[in-house]
Amino acid sequence: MRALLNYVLLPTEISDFERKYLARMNRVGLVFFFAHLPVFVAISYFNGMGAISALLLTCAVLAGPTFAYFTFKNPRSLSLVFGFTAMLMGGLLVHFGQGPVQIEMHFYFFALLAMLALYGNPMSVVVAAVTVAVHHLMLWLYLPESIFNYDAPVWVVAVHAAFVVVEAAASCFIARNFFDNVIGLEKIVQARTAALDGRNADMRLVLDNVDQGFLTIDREGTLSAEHSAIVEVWLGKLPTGAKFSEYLGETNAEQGIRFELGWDEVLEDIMPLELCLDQLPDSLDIGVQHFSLSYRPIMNGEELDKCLIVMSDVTAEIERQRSEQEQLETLRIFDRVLSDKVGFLEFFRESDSLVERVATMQAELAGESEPDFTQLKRVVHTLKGNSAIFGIQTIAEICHEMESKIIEENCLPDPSVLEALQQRWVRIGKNLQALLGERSSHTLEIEDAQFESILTSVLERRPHEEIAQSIADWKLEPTKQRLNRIAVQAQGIANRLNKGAIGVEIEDAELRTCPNRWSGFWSSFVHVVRNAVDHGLETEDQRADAGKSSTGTLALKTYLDSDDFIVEIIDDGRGVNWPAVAEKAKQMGLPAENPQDLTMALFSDGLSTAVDVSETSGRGVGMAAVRQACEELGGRVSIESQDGAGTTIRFRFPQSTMSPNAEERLRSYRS
Amino acid sequence: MGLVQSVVVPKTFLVKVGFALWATLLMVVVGTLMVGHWYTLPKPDKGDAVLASALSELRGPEQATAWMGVHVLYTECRCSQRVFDHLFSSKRIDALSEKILLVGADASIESRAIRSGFDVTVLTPAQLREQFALQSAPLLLVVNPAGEIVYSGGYTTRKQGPDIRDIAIITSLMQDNAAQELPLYGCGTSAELQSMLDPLGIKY
Repeated sequence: MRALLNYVLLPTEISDFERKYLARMNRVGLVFFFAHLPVFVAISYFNGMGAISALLLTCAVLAGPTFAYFTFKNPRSLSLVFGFTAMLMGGLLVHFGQGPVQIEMHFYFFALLAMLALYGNPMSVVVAAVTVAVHHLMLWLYLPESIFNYDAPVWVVAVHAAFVVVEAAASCFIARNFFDNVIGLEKIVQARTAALDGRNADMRLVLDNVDQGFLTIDREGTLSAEHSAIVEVWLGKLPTGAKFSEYLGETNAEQGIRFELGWDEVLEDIMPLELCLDQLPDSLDIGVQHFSLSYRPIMNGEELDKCLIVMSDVTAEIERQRSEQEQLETLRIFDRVLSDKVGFLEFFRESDSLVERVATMQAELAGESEPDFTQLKRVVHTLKGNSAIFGIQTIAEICHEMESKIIEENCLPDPSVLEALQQRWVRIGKNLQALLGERSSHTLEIEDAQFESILTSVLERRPHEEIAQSIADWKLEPTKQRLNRIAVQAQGIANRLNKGAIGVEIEDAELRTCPNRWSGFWSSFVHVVRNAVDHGLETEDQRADAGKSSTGTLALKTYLDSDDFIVEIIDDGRGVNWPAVAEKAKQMGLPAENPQDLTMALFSDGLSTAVDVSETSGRGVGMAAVRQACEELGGRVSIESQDGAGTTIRFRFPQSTMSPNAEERLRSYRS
Repeated sequence: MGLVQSVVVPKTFLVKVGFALWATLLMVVVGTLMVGHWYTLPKPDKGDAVLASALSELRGPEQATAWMGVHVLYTECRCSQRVFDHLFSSKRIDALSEKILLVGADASIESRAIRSGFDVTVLTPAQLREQFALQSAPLLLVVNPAGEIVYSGGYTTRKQGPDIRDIAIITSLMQDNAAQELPLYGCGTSAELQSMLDPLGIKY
């Protein structure tokens, strides 16, 4: 019984949709009943039942729903009145519809019982059915014969009633279903929306409390509204209907463009999807934060439908890796200092100067309308090469990034990159100072032989001028020291490039140079060494094929030739590929008519025969840098090379450039 | 200052009461309208002496051996109107003497009936009751040549049915076949019956 009542009685709450629907239906219902008036009057008139009585009786019936329409606040109550009215109208119709079709007029009751289902209220049907039942009951009580006319048996009456009951039940069923699934659809949607909202809120709670940002884009690359809150914290407010490339571009224009181009490739569907997705930006730096980006396709069958973008804050991970890398570098620095303290300190001083020059040049170039990046490029390249040789990879990587920006985009590196370079360099300096203390910059170390020589000179009471000159010579750097250091570096480069062990022969002729004056040249000289190892010396297999010994050899020499100071590097490698140099030179618009032209071209900015660019070489910057360093000391460079027989690069300087004369060097010490 | 208390009746209560009155009134009105249609009217007993006597007098000596059909029709009754139309438009039985007891005055019907060959006797409802002991119409009475009432009933098998079966009934009776007496649907002619069928006085 309770279930039946719950079925027939609607929930008390009336939704806005139901209210609007019933308002419209009640209006329609009232109009419908008023439309009965002329029809009934006409039927009554033509049946000889009298138009006036029809008019009055119909108006009397209409009074109820009209009254209810304007006074009832609950729209459902009006539908109950309509249920009752419908049955009264049926009675009038049967009365006015005299004649052969009077029985047929009873169809009106069944039609109206069905139509009442439109109100979506089973009670409206129930009221109508009860009205009919009460009507019959009243008649039966008043005149029993009036109900069972023509002496119909009880079962006939039961059949008669059964039709009403069955139709009323069916109409109630329809009304309730109409309410639940159509009128109540709004409630169903609300309930399901609430359930979805709940689930979304739960999911959102999860998404908003993880260190990853999630957002989705459709095929056009347009952002959907759903995303995890952290995304807006990282990238700013998510614009509605914007494309991800635009959103990304607000933070990092370059990555935004890269994504746009990459997404076009995804949509072109020419290359494999996974490959295209791999080409999309996978990292993003925002201030001091670092993020990784990954893309997960959401397929609809065979076709890409959407793409989930997962953004992760990897700052801590990057910092950890950087910290580990720096620790490893620090260990390598300690190792270098222990094995060649002087050499490392020279490198540090030279590189310190280079870092300062990079900062100065970048500041100057930033103010120029048409900046020439040649010098900056060479300095950065030299710093990169030396750092790589001394195992300071972090500096080499930063320099490589700066170099890429300068060469590939012909613009200044981002200030943040320069800042990173300076910060890293400062940390290296601090580590070095912590290791060596004040000795790092003011210590002069001498060999035993030098010590014994000067002691002997003093004991033998040699002239002061002579002793002073010998002591002043301590400040000059033996080229042997430089060449030995370069030899170690060359072997290290060969190892890194899988060229195997190489032999390095040194001939120094016991010459010395002024370290301050020559530091720039020796710094740049590393480019020549690197080129010789990288491009000159072959691999073991290639040497075996060429019928050479398995070990490549370099010869590093300093010597005097007449009045010239010579620095020479000789390799027994494959030799310079002059045709390739000539072709490159022509491409660059350089003269390439004779060996002199080709030599000049080889030392020109941007000329390289290398196929790939690496952190070691390949951009054609180093050779130009070393030529410049040579020329700054008044020297000149020449090259001798035979195909397959090796290369000799010779730097020739005036002897006077090796160091100031003795008098000049002592002058600053005299009181 | 006297203790005058005004009772404030809630508007909603008045609305409900007004609405309940309307519903009750209309239920009763419509119910009573239906009674007049659905009620099976009383038929006279074929052995009723008053009726037999009146019919004998109505037939007269010249038609004493003929079959006689008597149509009791009421000018105010729609059911009787349809029987009138039927009588005036259908082919009648030659050997049958047909008479109309016309309750209520309607010159048009009367003249049409005469033109159609019917003997018409105009009566008031009271006269019908007094002289023939009848109080409802349309009623068909068939009297055989022996003066016996062999049929007393309605014209149709169902209420206001289109198939008026008087010819078939009389023909069957004249062929010595039995005829089922049909229920009598129509109007009450006597004041008592009308009062019972239409207590509110809407129909009559």
